[in-house]
Amino acid sequence: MEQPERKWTMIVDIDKCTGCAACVVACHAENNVPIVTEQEVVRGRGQHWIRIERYWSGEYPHVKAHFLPILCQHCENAPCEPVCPAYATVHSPRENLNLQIYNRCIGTRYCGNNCPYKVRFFNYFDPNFVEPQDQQLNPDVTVRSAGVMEKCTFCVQRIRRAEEKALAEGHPLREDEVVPACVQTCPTGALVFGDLYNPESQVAKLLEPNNRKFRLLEHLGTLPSVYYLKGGTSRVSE
Amino acid sequence: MRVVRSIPRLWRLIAGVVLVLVVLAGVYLIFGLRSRAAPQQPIEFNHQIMVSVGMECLYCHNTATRSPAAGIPSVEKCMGCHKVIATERPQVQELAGYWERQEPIPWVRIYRVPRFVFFNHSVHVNAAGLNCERCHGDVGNMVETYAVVDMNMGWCLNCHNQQSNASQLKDCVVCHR
Amino acid sequence: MAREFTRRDFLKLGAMGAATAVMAGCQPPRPWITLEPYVRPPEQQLAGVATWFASTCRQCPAGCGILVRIMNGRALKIEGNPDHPLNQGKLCARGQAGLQVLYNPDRLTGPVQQSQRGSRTYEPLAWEAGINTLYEKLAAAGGRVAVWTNSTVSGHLFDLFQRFSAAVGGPSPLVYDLYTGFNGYRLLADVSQELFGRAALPTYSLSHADVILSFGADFLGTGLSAVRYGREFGGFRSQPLGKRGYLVQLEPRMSISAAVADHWVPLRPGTEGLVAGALVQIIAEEELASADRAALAQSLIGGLDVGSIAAASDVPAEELLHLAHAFASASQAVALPGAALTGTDAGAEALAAVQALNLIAGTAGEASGLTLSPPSPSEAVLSPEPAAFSDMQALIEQMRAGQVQVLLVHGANPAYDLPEQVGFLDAVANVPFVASFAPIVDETALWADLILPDRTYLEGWGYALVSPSFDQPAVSGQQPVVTPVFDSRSTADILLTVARGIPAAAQALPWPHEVAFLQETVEQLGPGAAGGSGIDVLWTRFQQEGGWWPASPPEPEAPSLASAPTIQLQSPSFRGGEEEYPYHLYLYPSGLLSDGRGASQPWLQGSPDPMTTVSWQTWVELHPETAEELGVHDGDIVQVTSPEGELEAPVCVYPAIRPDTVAIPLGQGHTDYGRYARDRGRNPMQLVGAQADATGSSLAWSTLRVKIRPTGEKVALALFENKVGVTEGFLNAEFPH
Repeated sequence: MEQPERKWTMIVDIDKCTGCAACVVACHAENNVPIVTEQEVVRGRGQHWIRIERYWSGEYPHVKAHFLPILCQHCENAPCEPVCPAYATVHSPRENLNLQIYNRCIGTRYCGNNCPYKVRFFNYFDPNFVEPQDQQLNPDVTVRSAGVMEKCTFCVQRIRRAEEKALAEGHPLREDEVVPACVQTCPTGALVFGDLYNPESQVAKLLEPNNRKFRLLEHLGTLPSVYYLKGGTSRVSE
Repeated sequence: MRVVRSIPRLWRLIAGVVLVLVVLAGVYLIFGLRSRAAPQQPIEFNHQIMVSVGMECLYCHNTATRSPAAGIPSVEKCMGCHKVIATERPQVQELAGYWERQEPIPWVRIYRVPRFVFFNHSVHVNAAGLNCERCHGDVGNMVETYAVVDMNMGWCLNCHNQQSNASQLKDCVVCHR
Repeated sequence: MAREFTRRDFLKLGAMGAATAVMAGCQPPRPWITLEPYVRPPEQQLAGVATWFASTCRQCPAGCGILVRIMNGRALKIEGNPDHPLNQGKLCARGQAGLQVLYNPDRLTGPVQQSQRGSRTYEPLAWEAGINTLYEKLAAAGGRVAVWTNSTVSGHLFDLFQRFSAAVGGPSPLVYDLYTGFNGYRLLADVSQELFGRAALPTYSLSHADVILSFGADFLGTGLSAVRYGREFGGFRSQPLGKRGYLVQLEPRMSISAAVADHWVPLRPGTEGLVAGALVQIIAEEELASADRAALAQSLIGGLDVGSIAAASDVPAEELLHLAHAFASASQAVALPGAALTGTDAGAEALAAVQALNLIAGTAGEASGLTLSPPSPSEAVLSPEPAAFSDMQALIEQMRAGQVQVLLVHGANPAYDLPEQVGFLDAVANVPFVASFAPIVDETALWADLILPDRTYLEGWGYALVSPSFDQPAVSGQQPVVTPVFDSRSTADILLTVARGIPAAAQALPWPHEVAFLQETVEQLGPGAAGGSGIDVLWTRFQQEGGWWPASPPEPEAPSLASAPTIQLQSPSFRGGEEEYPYHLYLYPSGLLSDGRGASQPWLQGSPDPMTTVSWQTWVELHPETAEELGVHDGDIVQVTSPEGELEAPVCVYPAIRPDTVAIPLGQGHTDYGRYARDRGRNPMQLVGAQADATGSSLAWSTLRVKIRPTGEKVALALFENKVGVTEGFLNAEFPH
């Protein structure tokens, strides 16, 4: 298989994430992700393409909280891909992303079952965008109906728009032309996005050998495209 | 009836089913073909006249090189010429009526792809170097505008498959998001 | 084999024929949809390509610059404006949710009147009739007109309200809302006046700090400028040579700011000021850091007993020593005052103690550290200054005494924001005519006689003096990014129209419409970073860039002590005896719902709260030990009673809170304000009562004690993290009522 041109990569700096949830709301706005009702949340059907997981450690008063933003890891070796009977979940040879093609999806939910990160969501209902909320819907992103799986796409619609624009204008894609919604809005700059194959990119520089980087559930061999940078704790000598 | 009843029961059943299927297929074919017939437009717009006076596609459909959408000219654009040109013709008078009422003209769409398909004109016109006729047919000679082809995925893939970078162009995300 | 053509044959043939005919009638659906082009396309708009307009976010008083993505006249996405000096391209969750303020299905579709207040029967009327009614009432009222507005009102509308009120001889417009009231904006400005001679909000530069001591300031959540402080924090954690700063958060309940801190000190509620004072004391006594700093420290703090403060605050003396050393030995140290500090009865002194720390840290006014928000760059540019609690009470008194004939409410929701004891609703009953400009009926508009819905901020004109502004003055510009979604009218235009008919006001408000007034304002600002001259160019650049800021940021001014008071700190006093009310009450604005104004937006309601992951609800946070003592678990409804009021809400067991404290988020408990806000959760302001701090500036909301009683009832907590697992939760959950 020919080498893809790009390796879209996201870096999450846990040292900077404050759990403010700006990324969560920005993603809903950009990707037409519906908000589920209170009852559905109780049923465990909360739907957020990016979520902030909050872990507790330690005992009071030395208890600590840790924030972990989790989104689709766009695994190179994705467990969700081989199990789709309809080829709705495939790996993009061009963008090196894990794709979810809504019109092929028949809703077996096998992919969601297989995902170790639990980042795939099933639309149990048709979306209920009450007029005039439908005016806000992003025309670059399909509005999913009931029965279809969905997940973070690294804002592939933004990637494609930028690439098509660069292609139509006849120049190579500039790194800063592409930014997913979550990365764009993050106030602390905890999220960084770019092409790992480009040695000048921010992600390539941040991922140079360091002892902070890790990936989630690396032992499963999924080869995620999302890297995390460990948080730290400062101490002051006495 | 005497002829029919002389055929064994099973064969009669099969024949009945086949008859129904043939009728249905015929219905579909006829109506299917007819669905590409020129739809009724609010104003009888004649592309042939426009082209015969030397107008380029891009004069009206001017975002085809700059945007995913080719664009439909605004009423203002039409009036740009038709304020003075051919004002005696009934179609132009209808156009003037829309302008006077400041109403958009509800043109009936000729080519349509489903909502989960995201086609980009500018890439095809600029990078692929295709001219409009390649996909839309000889619009310049159409008195009534009609679809020359059913733009389904198979049709798109026929061309995408023939390109040198076919493996990339067959990537789902090229059209589906 | 011949046989008769039987009835059976007839039926078979008939059925087959009918079936064929029916199926023949079914055609593939004709794909007939229309493409409507523009009649007159907006300039430079390409089909299929979005245009971006710059404006200002009004979801909190900060005034971040935004860019809004528009396609076909629809607002699709809001982003931060990269050129805006305050937020530099970033935006918080509430800013992102602004689209749902614009496209809210429960917005009023036109002006309405209510013949009976509180009846929720709104009769539509024509604009002419509505504006006429307003005019008649105002003309008859003379100077007995009061205006109640909020901190996110556009500067130009606030200016017009002020001019109108002055012209007719009425009181100055009152700016009071829960966001600024709760966060102690007035008190912050007052203390700045006292200490530094200028009433301005303090700003703290964090990105180069070594040590930050935050006294309960949730600066990353709902503090004075969450986005800017977020950026500062990002810088703080990524300083050169791997330096990542040392942040200590002192608060009884862990907020997200405490979650990312290096050290969380769960001090007793109400003792933040005391602890700050103790640190100053220690620095003075032990002569930590330079001699002049120690001398200054000594002059600022009267003799405090560190030992008793340690006991009162539940922070061990060694800890206080450690903090003092860390602070004094840092090269760049900052102390942040929090909302809870301003909500005590002795907030002014507590604030002064924190500011004293900043002064003796010696970073005041340098590139990092404490500065004061710069003043307005022009006389023409006004900022709505939040009123003191006592001023607000004075207006309510006037209303109650029948001295106010017409009350105009714009952008504020006192019926929801204020505790019942403040008496807003009682007072309103004595006001003959109340007009609201709310775009969506809220708890206060419910008591209005006439509602003339204003445009929401994405549809409206205006400006906002960025407040607080960090390194330079900035005037953020607001312009309509879409045509109005519903039949609303700009309140400013209505005011100008009405003023024309009132002789006293006509002279003071001569502009034909608000844009003319705004253009004059921009002209007076002159050229900024965007350059240009002449009103046309200046106005265009103001809209294009999203505002005005100076061409070169001025040198940051170190605030110098105007007076050197000796800060007298005292132990906090709480309402509610310890016996009867064993727990401290700690309220906090939700990072999503803010002070309650976010409740109408489903993106904010439905997103999980960062610390608890609960959405759509109000909950009571209890320490696991406390929960065990009371015998309650997640979802058990408890009744929380303070000396001032009570509420019932489900428990959420929370490991990072003092066992003697309970915390409840603000934001829910609406009775109106749209389908997403209505009839869910509880408004904990019911527990607070009407006491102010000693200076009368601030509502004293953090000095209450409560008691808790399990009710025996239970609901399912809408937790995104499913603690018990999905199947178990699904099978056993009782759905909330």
